[in-house]
Amino acid sequence: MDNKKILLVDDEQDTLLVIEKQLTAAGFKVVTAENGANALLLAKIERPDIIVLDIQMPDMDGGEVASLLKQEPITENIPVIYSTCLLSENEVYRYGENIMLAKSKDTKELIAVINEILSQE
Amino acid sequence: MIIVDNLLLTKQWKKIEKYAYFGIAVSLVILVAISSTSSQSLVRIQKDFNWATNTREVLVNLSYFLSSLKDAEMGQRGFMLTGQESYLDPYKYVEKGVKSHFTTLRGIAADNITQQTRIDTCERLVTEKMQDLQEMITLQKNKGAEAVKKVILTGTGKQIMDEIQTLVLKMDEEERTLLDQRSKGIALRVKLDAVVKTIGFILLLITAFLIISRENYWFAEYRNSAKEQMDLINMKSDFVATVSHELRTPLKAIRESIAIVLDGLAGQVNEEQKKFLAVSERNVDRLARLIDNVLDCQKLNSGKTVLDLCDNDINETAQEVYGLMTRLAEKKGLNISMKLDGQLPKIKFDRDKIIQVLTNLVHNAIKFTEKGAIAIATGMDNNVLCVSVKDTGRGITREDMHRIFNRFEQISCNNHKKTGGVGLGLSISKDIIQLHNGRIWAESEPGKGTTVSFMLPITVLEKI
Ligand SMILES: Nc1ncnc2c1ncn2[C@@H]1O[C@H](COP(=O)(O)OP(=O)(O)OP(=O)(O)O)[C@@H](O)[C@H]1O
Ligand SMILES: [Mg+2]
Repeated sequence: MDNKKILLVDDEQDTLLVIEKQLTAAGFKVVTAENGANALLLAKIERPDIIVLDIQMPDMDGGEVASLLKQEPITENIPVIYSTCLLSENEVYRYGENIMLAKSKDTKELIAVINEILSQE
Repeated sequence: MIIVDNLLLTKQWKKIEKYAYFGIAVSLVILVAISSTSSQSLVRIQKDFNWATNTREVLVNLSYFLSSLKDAEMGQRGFMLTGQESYLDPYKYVEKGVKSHFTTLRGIAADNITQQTRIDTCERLVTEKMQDLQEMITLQKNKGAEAVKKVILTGTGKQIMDEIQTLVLKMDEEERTLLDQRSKGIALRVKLDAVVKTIGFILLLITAFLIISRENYWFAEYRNSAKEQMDLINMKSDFVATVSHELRTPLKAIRESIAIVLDGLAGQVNEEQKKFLAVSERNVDRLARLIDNVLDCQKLNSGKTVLDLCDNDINETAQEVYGLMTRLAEKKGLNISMKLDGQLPKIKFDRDKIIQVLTNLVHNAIKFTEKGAIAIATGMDNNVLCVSVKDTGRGITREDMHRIFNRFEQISCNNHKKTGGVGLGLSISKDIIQLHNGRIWAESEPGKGTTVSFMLPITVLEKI
């Protein structure tokens, strides 16, 4: 089976470093972007299977990135998981195919959600 | 903690409000007093003025009457010498008008009883005089000029005329003194009114001044005396004490454990492992800094911070901060420089606290500058030591300037700009500088850069 590709977007380098390591260990291919503009670019070039998006970022926040992704035919169908500090650990929001998770949640939980979404496709 | 603060503020504000209302009430009373005395005295002036006009009228009337009486006598004499009736015209005129004339006179002199009796006497004398004249006219008509001459020589006619004249003179004198008194009264009242107004306004000014100047005093007094408030502060710092213990203890354990593994004390560590341990270390440090800031801020705020004042060299302190921060600046590609004044005296300050302030300022300069340079400078100006940190960063707009020293205040240039920190650095710095009796301020040109400076007094600080 092909390794699924995940685009990880967060403006905190340390967060990227840690999550990337854990996702790689779980068998995913990981690409990272430190800001919205890079995320849009990489989404087009790398065609990830799923995007994990931080909401609070400078210049362009997660919401803006997501709505721009929806405007492009190449990227509009990529599922997005928001990972945010705005939620406390046990809160989960789902609307449509989008899921919002607390950043402080265990990365294992993030992996579980990713697998759930990928299995639905 | 914030809720408690709001509670304190509300109470203090209510207290001030009470005094402000009191002050406003006093001012209102003074205002009402001024306007009522002023309007009263206006009424009095109006009255006095009317009476003065009256007096003048009486005077005119009297002199007019006297001259017509003289005319009548003259006419009568002419008639007696010549026997021509036309000489009697003035006499007839007076005779006809004498009654109505005295009625008017009584009316306008109604304010004065002595004048009234004089007017009575006067009327009697005039009637007598007129009778006298009448008698002589009849005598002339019946017996001729010779008979009249005899009567005139008895002098009764002249005597009455003299009496009338003295009486009128007296009345005239009386009215003149009255007029004099009344004009003086008006002048006095106008002066009095002005004085009352001036005093009133001075009182008003004093009240306003008192309200403004005592407000602080009342504020402080209330702060010192209200027991419940002290209880709140105590509760606040007890809470802070517990929390700070519970926050710092686990953090310390995590930090030390990481250090042990990193240093290889728990076995061989490969490069990959070192990388992730470094991530932990960085982030634990970041969390520790935040906790320190929050707790410091709380402590400064509850007045529990005690300065450790010793003779210190500000240049040496600046150098230490420079040493601590160069790596951070260079990592961001920023040039950091120092310009120290070698002639500075040693002064008393809390070295650790001033290092904390300078670190905050340099940290901000690095954080909010993307390219360019940062300069730390020391100097002396008018018996105060000055330290400034200058950068070439994004700057602070005029509107934001007054907010940056507030607690938890961060100015974002973009939505949700994440720069780290919670907006406590400058608030803490301000509190520390103020504890030293110094001053801290910022100057900035948006887009070009910012200079944050503080000054410390050179004179030995008395007991803080
Ligand atoms: N050198 C500077 N250049 C531009 N803006 C500044 C500078 N220093 C402070 N500011 C502005 O003032 C705000 C308050 O500064 P302060 O140091 O109190 O908080 P902070 O640095 O954001 O957070 P913390 O100090 O708690 O880590 C900052 O968020 C920033 O917007
Ligand atoms: Mg700061």
